[in-house]
Amino acid sequence: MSVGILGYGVYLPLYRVKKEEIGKAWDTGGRGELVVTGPDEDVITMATEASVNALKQAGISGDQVDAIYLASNSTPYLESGSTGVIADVLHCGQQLEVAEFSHTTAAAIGAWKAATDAVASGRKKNILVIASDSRPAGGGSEMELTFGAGAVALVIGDGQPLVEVEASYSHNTGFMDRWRSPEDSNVRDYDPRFSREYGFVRHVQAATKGLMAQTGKKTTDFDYVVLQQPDDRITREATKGTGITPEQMQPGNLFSKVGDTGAASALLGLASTLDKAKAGQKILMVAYGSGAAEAMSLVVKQSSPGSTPTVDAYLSRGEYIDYAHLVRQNGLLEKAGEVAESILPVSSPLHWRINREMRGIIGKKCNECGYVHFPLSSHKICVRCGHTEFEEVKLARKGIIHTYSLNYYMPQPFESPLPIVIAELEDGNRYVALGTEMKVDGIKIDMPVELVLRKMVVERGITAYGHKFRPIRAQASS
Amino acid sequence: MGWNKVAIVGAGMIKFGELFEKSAEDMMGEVFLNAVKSVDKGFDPKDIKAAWLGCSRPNLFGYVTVGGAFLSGNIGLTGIPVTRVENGCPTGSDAFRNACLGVASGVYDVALVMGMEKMRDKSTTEGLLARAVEGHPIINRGETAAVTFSLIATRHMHEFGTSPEQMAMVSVKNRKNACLDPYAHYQSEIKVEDVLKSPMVAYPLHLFDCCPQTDGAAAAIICSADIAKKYTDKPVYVAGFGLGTDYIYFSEKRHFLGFDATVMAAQQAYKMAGIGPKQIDLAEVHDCFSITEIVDYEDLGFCEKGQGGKFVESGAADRNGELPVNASGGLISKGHPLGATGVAQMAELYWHLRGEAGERQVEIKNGYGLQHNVGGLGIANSVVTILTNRSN
Repeated sequence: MSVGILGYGVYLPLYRVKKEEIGKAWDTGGRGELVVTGPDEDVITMATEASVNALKQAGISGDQVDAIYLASNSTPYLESGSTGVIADVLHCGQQLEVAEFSHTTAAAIGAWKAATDAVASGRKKNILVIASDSRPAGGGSEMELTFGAGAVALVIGDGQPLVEVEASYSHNTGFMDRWRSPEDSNVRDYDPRFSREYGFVRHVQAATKGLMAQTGKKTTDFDYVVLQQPDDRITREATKGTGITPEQMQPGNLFSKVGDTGAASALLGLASTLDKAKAGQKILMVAYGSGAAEAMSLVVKQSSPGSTPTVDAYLSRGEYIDYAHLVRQNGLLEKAGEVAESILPVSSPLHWRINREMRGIIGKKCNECGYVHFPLSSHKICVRCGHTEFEEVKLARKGIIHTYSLNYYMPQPFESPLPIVIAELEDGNRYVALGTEMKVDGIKIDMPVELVLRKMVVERGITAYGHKFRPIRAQASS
Repeated sequence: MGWNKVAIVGAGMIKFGELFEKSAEDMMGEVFLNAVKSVDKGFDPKDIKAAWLGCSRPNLFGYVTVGGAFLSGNIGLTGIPVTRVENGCPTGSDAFRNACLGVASGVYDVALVMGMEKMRDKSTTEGLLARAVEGHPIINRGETAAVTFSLIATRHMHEFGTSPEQMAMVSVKNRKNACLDPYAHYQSEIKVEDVLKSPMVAYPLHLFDCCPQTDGAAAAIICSADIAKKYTDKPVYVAGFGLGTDYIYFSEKRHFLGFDATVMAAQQAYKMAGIGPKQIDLAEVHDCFSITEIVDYEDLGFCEKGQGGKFVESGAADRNGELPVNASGGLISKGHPLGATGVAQMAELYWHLRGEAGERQVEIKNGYGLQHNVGGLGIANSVVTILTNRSN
């Protein structure tokens, strides 16, 4: 038994933007593409799906998770945690320790180390470490051409890990290259020609050198090298003279397909590498952000079981959008007209009453006739037989479409056309939810769908989450 | 044979439409006076002992609750007991049902039923689409009225092969009928191609598969059957009625091929009237959307389940067909001022059963007419009423 990664999971959105599309809006060019969130996604929805995948691969259930450590620079709030939503979806217990790590795109490493120490000390058994980012970029900026979105989750526990941390090294000077203050709607920088060299390059090199000195290893001892990827040129600059080769970095090199995913960047490169790595192989990983470089020496104990979708599986299907849709999806361009505002705000006791069952998709089964009721808090008496005793049940999350509609005349803030689906779940229950990622002419009765957590609406600054049906997008290989 | 304890002795209506110049109070006053004037042997409003007001969504004209006095205070009848009824789309017909129970109880011998809805003081966007945020904040989110009915259309098309053309034929038939109805909102014909080319509202329903948003009011004067001859020699009796309630959550529905609430209400009404669908001479059924009328034929027993598309295609529901459905033009032509619709259907049947429906009069062989509404939250409420010109 030893401490390490018991399982990992990733999530990447469906939507892609070609950089030349972005460039066109600003009369310039662009090469490569970015992965970007859809209109009903955010850091928390991405974190949730990555977590579902990680728990599945680790073979543990939500109630076995002792703590959730979330690392992000773009959660919905400046004050107020967001892990409660994730915990509800995963069915974690209430004796849950939570912490959010932020303010640097290297934040996930701090979370990973804290989780490792907590498990190694015996204080906790299984900790879910999540990195998720979808950072805002200003129009016409370099960030607009480089920022992508994604999430990675690791289950850190004591057992038969896939990966162990052999050593780690920090190099931290508080160097100011990129920042976002409460006054800024976008991440900003000042002098990239200065900050690239004195920020990223020198800090990554210092952390790498420091880790080699500490461990007595050479960079050529590693099978793979994974670096933070704010762009792809900078990793070449940072690795000059270090002995690190493009071949070592290849599986972890996602920038040209995904973009800079902030706190998730290094871990996504690691996940992509682990999708292919074999037992015994060694990985050098360096994350960086805002003057903090974190280097780790990792050893692969077992290859990935392939039980959840890989990075490539998520990348295999993409839907390209143009710049106008990117701007709309980022909430920067809103349709004019009447806005239909919810009657009760998200902070109402109503939402508190329904959160657990809606996020956890929890119903109740009549002890007499077996009929499953959803939602559970609306049913005191069995609608089929009048009995009054029930047992809680978790509904299945996959099914096939039984009937559907597409609502074309939607007021703001709804998308239009809006798919509404009634599906027959794998457990025989019927479930009603909005549809997401559905093309108008692609929806069919009997189409397989799965329930995924998405944003329902943001009102008075607060986000309401709920499940929607999505066509099956990324499958595991086994 | 039938229940026949209550009779209709007067009915009044105004032309439905976007009546921007008429207030809710104006409409109620106007149809009340029309109803009073319509009574054959004359009518003294002081005979009215109680009233029922069907008005479903006063938030559309700026009020949240109105109460019963909103009616009596506005038509010169302060003092009488009035109940305001809200029951979704069957609001008006349920107001009528409750009034019948009040009169049949013997406590009130003459009652007024008023159905009224003022929908166009709000923009069409705000008024109708605000439903997308009503109900359960996650389960009902995004559901407008059109969506709830279109879920049935999609499944009906899948299981029975009902086609968009057959659905469009309902709208074509009803719009044609309405050309002869001076009370209809729309009084012009359309073709099947017009329906199919009109913008999609909620797949698979196009704009012309949907009823418009409309203001309107209708009133009926009812009395105990044994005093009806005081007011008219040709009363129309209430032979039977029913109200069915179904599961509210769509996930709990037993099927998506029609409305069990209608089936339940119809069973109750036919039993009370002592007749079956074959005795019905004409029907005013709920066609908020074209698909609704198609499943109504099935749920009301006019044809087998799944055959509704073929039924309208065969011409059986035409004005000169074997069972004229919506000779008035239906909700598709008249619009659906929620509280007014059910009472308007009673008035329409009253006129046909007395042979005074003018150019749109249908042939009355057996002496029975049927009215039907279905809707409300979860499309879980339905009322069916059977009227007859035959006394027991």
